[in-house]
Amino acid sequence: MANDSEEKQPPKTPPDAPASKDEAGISASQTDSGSKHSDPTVPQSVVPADAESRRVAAKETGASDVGAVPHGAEDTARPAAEAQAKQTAAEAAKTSGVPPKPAAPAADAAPKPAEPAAAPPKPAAPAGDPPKPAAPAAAGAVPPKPAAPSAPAAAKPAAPTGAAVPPRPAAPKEAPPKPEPLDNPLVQRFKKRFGAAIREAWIDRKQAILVVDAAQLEEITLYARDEEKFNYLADLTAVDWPHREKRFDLIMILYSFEKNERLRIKAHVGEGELVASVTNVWPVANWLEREAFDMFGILFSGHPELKRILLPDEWQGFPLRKEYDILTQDTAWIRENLGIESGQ
Amino acid sequence: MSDITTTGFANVEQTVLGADELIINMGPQHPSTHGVLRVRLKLDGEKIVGSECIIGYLHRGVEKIAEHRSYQQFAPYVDRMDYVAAVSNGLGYCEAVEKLMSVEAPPRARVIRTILTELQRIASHLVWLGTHALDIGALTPIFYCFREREEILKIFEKYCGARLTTHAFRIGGLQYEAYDTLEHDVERFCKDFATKVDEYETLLSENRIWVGRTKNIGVLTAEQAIALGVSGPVIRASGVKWDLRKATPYAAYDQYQFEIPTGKNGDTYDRYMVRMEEMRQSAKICLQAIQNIPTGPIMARIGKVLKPPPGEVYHAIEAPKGELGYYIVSDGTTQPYRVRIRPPSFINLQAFDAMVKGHLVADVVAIIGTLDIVLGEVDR
Repeated sequence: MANDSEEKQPPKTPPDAPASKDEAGISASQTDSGSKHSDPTVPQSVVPADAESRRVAAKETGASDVGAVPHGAEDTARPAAEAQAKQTAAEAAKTSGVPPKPAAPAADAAPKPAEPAAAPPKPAAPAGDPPKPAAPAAAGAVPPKPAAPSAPAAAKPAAPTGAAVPPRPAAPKEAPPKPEPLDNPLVQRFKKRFGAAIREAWIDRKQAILVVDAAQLEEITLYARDEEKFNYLADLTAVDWPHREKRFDLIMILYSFEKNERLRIKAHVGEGELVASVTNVWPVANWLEREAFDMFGILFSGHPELKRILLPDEWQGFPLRKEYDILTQDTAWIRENLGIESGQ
Repeated sequence: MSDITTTGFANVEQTVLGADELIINMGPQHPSTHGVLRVRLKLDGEKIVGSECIIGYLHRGVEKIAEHRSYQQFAPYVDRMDYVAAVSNGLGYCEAVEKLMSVEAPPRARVIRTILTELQRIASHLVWLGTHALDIGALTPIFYCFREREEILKIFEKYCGARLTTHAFRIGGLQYEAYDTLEHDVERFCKDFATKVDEYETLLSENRIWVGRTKNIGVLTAEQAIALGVSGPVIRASGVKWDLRKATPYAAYDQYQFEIPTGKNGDTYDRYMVRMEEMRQSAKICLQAIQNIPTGPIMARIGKVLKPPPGEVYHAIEAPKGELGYYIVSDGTTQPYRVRIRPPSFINLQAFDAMVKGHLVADVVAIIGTLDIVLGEVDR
């Protein structure tokens, strides 16, 4: 589609006006502040560094998309263009009372709303409120709302503040989807029952997350299954945050047929730490825990036969840990079993 | 002999005949394992007393690859998991990333996605039916099934140029507009497809051999099915009326009328009936969808460089095999921090041991077939 290409490309000329410099500053600081949402408990400084190293690693391994230079340039260029578009739009609206005819870029999308001379700079208003700014990304066939004109202007909320300094570079169309603390009756019941073992509760992209104490995992899952009717374990997996004290997030995605609801239970688990197996609660966890062991080296106590499942039994190393590079392999195993030097 | 039999199996009951147990290796190069599944069977005479699935022969580390590719670059990889239902895999992934970025594909894209995904469901079930029947000894259905599947693949080919690993969808919508005669092609296929399903049924449903080989074979009760986490037609055949297209609608499924077929006994025959009915329902959805394909853009306005805000999301769709879920963690960069794929085949295969105990060796192929696994997805 043409329409997504033009808008950030235009100021290819790198040193573009003062605006771009500002924006550069903004977006840089933005990465920092943004990253703290990635995991509430991660020390703030950790993630950017990590992200950076990943980028480097990616470059080395030839995952070319993130070539540092063009990437950075794009980054700064884009918000600048947006900001400009917004500003011109806002100004136009102010002076003429005509709905902001979105600046040149982004113009092509959708029917250009010719009719609505009706409502002046209304678009500003809906843009401010997060939850559901009806502007469904440019889809706007004929939304009667005056918000329509803003559709091409990009569905990027026409931040009236002249794009003051609110960060967030990448098109925050709707509510900035950052995890927010969750405190609904369900969480309250959990907290009442288990007290401090329920460490945190978040809602992210409308999905509930419960961070619990790994020591009480079995009781909590039993309670979730029997009392709260989350009787279906959809998935069990892990995420590695190597710079954290307890590096693994053990994640269980539960589903309740009765309520038609999902709940995500997370527990922080350290390397080499034993965590109770939930195979007694949900037999499906058997293979899933084996996979978590296989890929991350998480140890489950009480598992009927904790051994590798996808990799060969004698394989050394845990591939989904972050320090395990994508080109790493167990060369000794490969030499011995396949009779070749490298499996790559 | 006896020292061999005591190794490698957990939870195997004592056999009647004691020392006369036999371990049989099936696969990984066995035609009825649908790929490279290896099963170790512990037999007492011809009766199976224990089993162990050995998987991983097709492990490619898809989840690791995801962490080293950008969001868009990873999209074609998901097609290679369940390669007989690539379109469904792509839908799940694209929607998951869209959810992560809080964007939605435009209505037109969603409807076209729905049409193609339902066609893919039919194609996937046709492969299942043909091979499953072939395993059990019915040679004919596979020819009919592949005849119809060919029509679907032709539609895919016309739409995006590829037949199998299509990469039909993009994050944010579609890359290609529907070609001019898409509606016509879909209508022509779906209109008389229901009669084709009837045709298959005349070959099998009341066939004495078929019934004898599938009734009461590999029974899963509803409780077992839930505890073992199976999904898709397998759990529905056990009587659990649960379909993500209805439970948590995605794409454009909330606009269409269709039934969720369920079974009663949870045996191989019921799973067969459920899938047959699902094919009819899928055709019905397609026919409804082509009546009214909205106009408008097919791509949401997203940048060329995707940087979802930090956070995580789990999005699951009803793939032909069951619940296909993507759990994606973003750290705000262009590459996912973690992508976890919840593979329906992997989890359904885990139920194999519970289903096969007490049956005869010949039933093993029926049970593998009825689970409808694809090893590309089991091993990822």
